[in-house]
Amino acid sequence: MTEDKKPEFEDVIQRLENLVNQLETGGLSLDAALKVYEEGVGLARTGNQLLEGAEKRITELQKTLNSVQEHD
Amino acid sequence: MNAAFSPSSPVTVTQLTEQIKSVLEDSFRHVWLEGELSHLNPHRSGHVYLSLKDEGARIDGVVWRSTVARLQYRPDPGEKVIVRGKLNVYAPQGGYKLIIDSIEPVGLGALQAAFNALKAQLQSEGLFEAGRKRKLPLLPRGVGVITSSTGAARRDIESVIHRRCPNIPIILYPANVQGKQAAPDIVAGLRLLNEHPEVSVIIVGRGGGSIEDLWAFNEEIVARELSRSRKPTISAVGHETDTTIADFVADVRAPTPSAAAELAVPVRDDLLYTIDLYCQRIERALSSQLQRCSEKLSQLQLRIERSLSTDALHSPLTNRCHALHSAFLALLGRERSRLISLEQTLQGLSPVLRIGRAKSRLAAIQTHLERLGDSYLSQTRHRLSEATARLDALSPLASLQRGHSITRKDGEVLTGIENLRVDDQVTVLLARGQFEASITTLSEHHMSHENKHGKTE
Repeated sequence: MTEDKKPEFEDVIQRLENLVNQLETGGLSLDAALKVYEEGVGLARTGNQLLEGAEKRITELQKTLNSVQEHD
Repeated sequence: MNAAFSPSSPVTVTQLTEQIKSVLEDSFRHVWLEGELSHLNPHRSGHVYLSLKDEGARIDGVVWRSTVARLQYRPDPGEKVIVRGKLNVYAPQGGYKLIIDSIEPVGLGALQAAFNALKAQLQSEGLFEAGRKRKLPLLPRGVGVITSSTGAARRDIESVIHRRCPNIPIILYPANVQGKQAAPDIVAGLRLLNEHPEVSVIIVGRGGGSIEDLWAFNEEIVARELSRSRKPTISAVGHETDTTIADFVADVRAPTPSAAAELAVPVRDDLLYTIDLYCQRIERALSSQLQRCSEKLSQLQLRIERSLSTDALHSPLTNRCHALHSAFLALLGRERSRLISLEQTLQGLSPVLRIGRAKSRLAAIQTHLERLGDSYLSQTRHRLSEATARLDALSPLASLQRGHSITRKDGEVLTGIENLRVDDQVTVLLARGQFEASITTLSEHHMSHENKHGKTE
């Protein structure tokens, strides 16, 4: 339950795409461009990490909430 | 056409039966009959004999073997069924039977009606609307699966997910997927998985089956819980042709459990490739910007140098310009080395490297294998030549080489003298050549070979 801080892959990719576009359009100062570049590299790393991660895992839940539906 | 019924001209049994047959068979060509199945006798021939009854009557029927093969529903005695067929009169026994070509349970119509009613109701509430459908995440944190823990659907889903993206966890809620407990189980699973922090998409499904088997997916509580789910849902019930209410309410309908897994999870290598492409583009863009800055700087430098006259060369302004220039160069140099180190980090992330490592491991394994193969081959060769040598030693030809001979009479090899008489002709085979000899003496003892003379024949 503590892993909630992990970013969503979709957001990572979207942001990365956005940065690429900014940089390709040009018009940024050198310093700003470097910052964008740095953020891009970081995002790429995050994206890779989200894809690597732990190996295959299957959790079989117990049927603990069997009685939940009673008021339906 | 009817026979005259009078004592003076009676009809024969056959004639009457034929008339009855034509009357009955013409009037009952297409019959829908509802009743309780009483007898059910599958015959050796493959035909099934049965009878239908109600409180007042009974009618026998038969299902021909060819029809039995394509029946989708196999009723048991005692069940209420609706059959379709035509009446047939069997003259030799004076009886009639219904020839049945389809059987349905009586309840089926009721189930279909319930399905239609619920579908209409939910549709009017807007539960099927395209606007309600949520998008599936590009890469889920984990996939929640509600299905039987022992079913084929579970295996299909797991193997597809592991093939496409092995690091995505699967959170399985084992549920009954048919029978009374199925709908409550599915509802409970949806609630539990909605609370589970690792789950970002939920697959609900099972393999194919009859309409009764799939019925839980047509239940209202399941439909309502699906519509309440905060996480996107994929329904995967049965085969392509089976459609359930759950399919209409879920955010995405997959034709099969395997297809659901494909929709839920992307192919990892595709995503890695996408990231790689972005990295390449970002790098190229920055490099060209640096290039432009550097060119601009050199131009400015040139202009400053040109604009300075020789006498102004030593003025404070010139010094300032020089200072400015070198400061600028230093800044550029710093940024350049920062870029280089970032580029190195980037290259470390590239899948190309990983692929390279995997390739060289593969090559090492291959060489090892080849080496193993070679040594196996040479061992085998060695063993073969040893065996050949041993074989040679045992061969009669080798004995001949050592000076032994083989004596034959009429083609038979001789090992004793039982069948020999004086003056018999024998053939003696030596290592090199053979000769004919005639017997001069015979003596009983082994080991005495002098009984054959004839070298000079």
